[in-house]
Amino acid sequence: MATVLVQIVRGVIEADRRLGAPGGDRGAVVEFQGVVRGLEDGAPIDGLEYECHVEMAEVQLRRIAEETARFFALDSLLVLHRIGFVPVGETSLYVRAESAHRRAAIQAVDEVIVRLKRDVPIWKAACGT
Amino acid sequence: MRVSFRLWSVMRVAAGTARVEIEMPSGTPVRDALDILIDRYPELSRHRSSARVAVGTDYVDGDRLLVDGDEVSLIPPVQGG
Repeated sequence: MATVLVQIVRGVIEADRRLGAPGGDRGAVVEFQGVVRGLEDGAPIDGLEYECHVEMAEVQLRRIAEETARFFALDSLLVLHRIGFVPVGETSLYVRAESAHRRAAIQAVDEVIVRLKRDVPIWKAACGT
Repeated sequence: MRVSFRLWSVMRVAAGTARVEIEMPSGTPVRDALDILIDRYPELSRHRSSARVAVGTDYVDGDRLLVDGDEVSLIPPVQGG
């Protein structure tokens, strides 16, 4: 049974190893950080303002993470999404998957992101310079 | 019964409010409830076809029957990540 943790956060996101580290049966750790770009539709911005239906986002994100962790037989899966204002260059999305072998962890991270972008009620608006 | 609507992103901006409460007959289906909402806020109509609907924390379809106190969210295309 995988250890799964999802959180909607308002502060800075940094690399997060709270669910464990390689060792034992874990041979792969895949970590993804989605970072706010400095251009939106070609125009420079200061950052993005993320709006979120928090209660629903937590339920939907947990469902996605649990289903993904089960399907890919992960050891652990951590998903953090920052909301509120996120400056250019800072992390808005963090996904970390641990598994016995690389392919499962790589595919699981992509699956979580694809489903998050389809079903989790979060919206963004550019904040201009 | 009283139904609470929560409007998000472009729908919140279009309506000029994030929350609306409307009295309607008990057991009203979601699709009819949206008709009632749009009668009151016609500026939402252009977003209706692209929006999904949730009751509480789960997506539902238009056949879902509402009960007193339900919270209905209109979810325009999401943009997380």
